[in-house]
Amino acid sequence: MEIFTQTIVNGIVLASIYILVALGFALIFSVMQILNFAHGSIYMVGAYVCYYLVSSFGLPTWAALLVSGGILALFGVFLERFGFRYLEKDFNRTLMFSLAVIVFLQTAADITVGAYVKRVPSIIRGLTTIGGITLSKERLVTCVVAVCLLLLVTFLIRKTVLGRQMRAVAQDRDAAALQGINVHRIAAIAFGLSSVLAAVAGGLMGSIIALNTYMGSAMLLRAVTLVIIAGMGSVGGLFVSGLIIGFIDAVLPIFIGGAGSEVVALGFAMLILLVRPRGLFGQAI
Amino acid sequence: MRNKKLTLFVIVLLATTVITLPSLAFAQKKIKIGIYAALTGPFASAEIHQRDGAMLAADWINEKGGITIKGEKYLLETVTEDNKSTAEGAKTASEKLVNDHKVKFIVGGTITYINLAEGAVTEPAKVIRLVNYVGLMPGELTPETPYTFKVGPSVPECIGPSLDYLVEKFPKVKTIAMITPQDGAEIPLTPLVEQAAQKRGLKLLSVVAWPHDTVDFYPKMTQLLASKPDAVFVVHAYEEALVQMVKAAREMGFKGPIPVASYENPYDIVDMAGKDLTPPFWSHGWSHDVNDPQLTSEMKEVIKRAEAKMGKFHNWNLWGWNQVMILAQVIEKAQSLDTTVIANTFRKMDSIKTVFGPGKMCGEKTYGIKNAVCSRLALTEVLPGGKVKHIKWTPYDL
Repeated sequence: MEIFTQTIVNGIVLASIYILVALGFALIFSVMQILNFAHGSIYMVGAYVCYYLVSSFGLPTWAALLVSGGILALFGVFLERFGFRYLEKDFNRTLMFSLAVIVFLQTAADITVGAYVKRVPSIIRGLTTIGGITLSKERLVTCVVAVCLLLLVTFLIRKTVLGRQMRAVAQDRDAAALQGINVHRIAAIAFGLSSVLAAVAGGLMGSIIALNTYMGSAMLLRAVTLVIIAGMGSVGGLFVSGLIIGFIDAVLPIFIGGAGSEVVALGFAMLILLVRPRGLFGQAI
Repeated sequence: MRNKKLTLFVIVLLATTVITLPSLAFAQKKIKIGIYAALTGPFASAEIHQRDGAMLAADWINEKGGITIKGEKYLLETVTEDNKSTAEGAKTASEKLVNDHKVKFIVGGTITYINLAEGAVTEPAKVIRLVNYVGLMPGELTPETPYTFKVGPSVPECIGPSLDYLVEKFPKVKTIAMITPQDGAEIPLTPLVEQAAQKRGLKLLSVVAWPHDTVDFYPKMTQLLASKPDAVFVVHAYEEALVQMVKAAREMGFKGPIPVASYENPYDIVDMAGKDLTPPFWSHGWSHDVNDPQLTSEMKEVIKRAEAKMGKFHNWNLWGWNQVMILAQVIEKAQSLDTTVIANTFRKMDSIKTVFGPGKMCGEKTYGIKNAVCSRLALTEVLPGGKVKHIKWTPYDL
């Protein structure tokens, strides 16, 4: 029973982190039609920024999460304003640009901060017993923070003027512009918001796992898988696909060895691409 | 006017001669040592420190006057190439070192598939290569690799001493479960662990292999703990992974001993997994306490120099230092720069000073060639409360 409950909690923790990252990735694609493969690297940088805010500036972890989110939001806006904005009409160039950003961030991290093993201090440490089952407080808090942030962003996208503007730009960029929406401003906000999500996810995950400069690659793969399964434009779909992949990653390694869970997750994504290219919940293209 | 010009010319000529002559007359001969290390990629967090250790050792030897060969002094010069943590990167790095930098000596090497890729370049070129680790994969170290020498203890050597301490300290422990990376080395390592466990009256209940890109160790630890072992035996890991394994095991309620048959730094594990969660835990990493009388004078020298130059000592500084320290002794003993002469001399050396203490040539039993240096293994324990303590040295043979 204890193993079962721990696995359920673990599946939800992984799912919530995956959804945070995937939501940012999907947001940029929806608003700007850009596959920002540097999103995983932003997640990695967010984790390191959070670590240094705690270790070098003495911030408590929760404050470091907020500040690192702010810093990476500015970085996201900077990337959009001085990089992607000029390339947005050209898929190949945006792809190459995002790959270049990955190499730049990865190498910069390797050279500057990658030499020692680090971990973001937990917001809360220790174990708690719920109904006779021992659980990590750190994982429970990570799960709660991630779910709250997801609900907040979902509310922002669905219920606010800004969210409506984002959805309008995502549906038809030219029509949105004709309605007086400043599409560049919306794109910059989308980039900033997506970077906040990646940075906070990195900081949260950085207290569960040890930091490394290549941690973004695995997370990017998960984000892309989630988006493929969910389909574009479906926030609810991302929640479902996040839970699917989170549970595949939490449960399958218990029963099968090696990278079996990745094979299953990617196999599922490939199947979706073949039989239902718009994803389980995406709109028809 | 003409005399003035002539005088000026003579003065300039004399001055130039005075300045350049000493440097020409005393131009120091140099021996170039190639270092291949992962400066990027997943193994960078360890191998960067190995490179630093090798460079510190070169400085240390140079400060003492360098190496003397047939009455001539040679200083050591290091050149590093990044193996990028990949086999392709390792091949390219080795080719650059051998073909572009023309090095005859290379140090580095801790990952099995990277060692194999590097050996494919260095052996045909007759370049002496000192590796720290051999994972028992075919081709890593055999009679067909006469220019490759293993100078550090590998995981197989740690298995016995780790389990000996387990039986000694926890006599009630009867079962173990093994967790190891899925990199090919788990195939030869598993029967070794099984035999070593049986020999000590222990039963190996389960084996779990984890891929190098494992994000979360909870599922793997769930799988491992499902067999209800008395002890979790970590056979090879790197620190990022080990921290997660220890945390996951403890958070899932496992309170038994966690012996580690590897060299991971116990201080980092305590720092990141927590001083309450880590013990009972031990590994074959080394104490950082320069006042510990069990540390060799060279170990203390590495710790002091690393702290002075890099701001922080890292376990792997010792590995890099050890390689250059041994290489310098061998070249001096051979009194030659011919790599075949040096390799033959190396195999015949009765005693070698390693950073960990006295060593000797070995390897015939295990690798079929006397191309390994055997010295002694440290065993370092994390005590209740998080204090790290050197427990003992154990000599090993191969």
